[in-house]
Amino acid sequence: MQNFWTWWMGATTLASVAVGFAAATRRPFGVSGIYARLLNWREERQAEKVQKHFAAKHASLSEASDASAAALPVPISFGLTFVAFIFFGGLLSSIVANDVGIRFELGADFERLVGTGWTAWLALLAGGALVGFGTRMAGGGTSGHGLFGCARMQPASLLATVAFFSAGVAASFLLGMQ
Amino acid sequence: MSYAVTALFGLLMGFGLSRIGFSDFGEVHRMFTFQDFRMLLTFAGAVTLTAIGLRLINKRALFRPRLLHKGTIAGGALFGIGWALTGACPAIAVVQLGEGRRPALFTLAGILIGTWVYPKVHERFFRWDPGSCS
Repeated sequence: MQNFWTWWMGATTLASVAVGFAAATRRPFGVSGIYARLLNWREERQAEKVQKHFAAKHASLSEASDASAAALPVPISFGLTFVAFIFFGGLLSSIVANDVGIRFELGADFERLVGTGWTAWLALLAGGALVGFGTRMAGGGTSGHGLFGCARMQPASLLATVAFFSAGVAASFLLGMQ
Repeated sequence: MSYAVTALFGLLMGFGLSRIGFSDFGEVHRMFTFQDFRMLLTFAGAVTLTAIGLRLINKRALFRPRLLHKGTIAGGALFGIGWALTGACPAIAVVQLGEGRRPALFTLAGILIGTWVYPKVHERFFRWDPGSCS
């Protein structure tokens, strides 16, 4: 899939999504957090029940202050919707690029650097585990820390972003050396 | 917060990330090895524009502070290694699946496993406050 966007087109699109989402929903998004909540669905369902019960009992209270509203999590069904449509976005992209179809590979560069067959799958599994584990440990990934956190100049996000970029650079150079 | 809005932005996000090249292993590798600066500029530009945009809508946003704790940097490093190996961050694995790349199933499975394992490891071995209950 070639003909990638210019940097300013990509930058504008990502920023529009982030700012647009924040303007419409008053919140940031972060896929790593959505995965975490989805895996925690039992607790999530419990928490939502309690929230509904409490809201019903105290409907007389005027709209919660911003601080308490920010503390209340949005129902996980929205997160699921968001992730589902990221999938469709990828699908749409392949349609637009005239490149639709199920593929069993991640490209020539991946095969050259990581490998093929079951060793490659193991690498993906292990690498994926590092991504999942690491993003939870850091408290966010490229959207949460990288995009929103850095945009807001949050020290934690700036440090996390430097950390994951540096590690990505180091690991990529090592990968290229074999 | 409506499902329609959420769906629209998810769609744009997935589409954009794919068209930029973040779901392409080769492009990500070239970004990390400084052979190509396009994606780095894209990211830097996105952060800058988002910073400006968020400031313009500041009064409306309900953002909580992001906590800096012992897991922030170490976790970031682990994530970075995984990103270099798979070419994917949490959202990208799903974009790759949308593009029909079956190996991304392994990546996603790994991400879910890592996400699931972390709180158990944290409970057993880590002593810092991550700022949330899960």
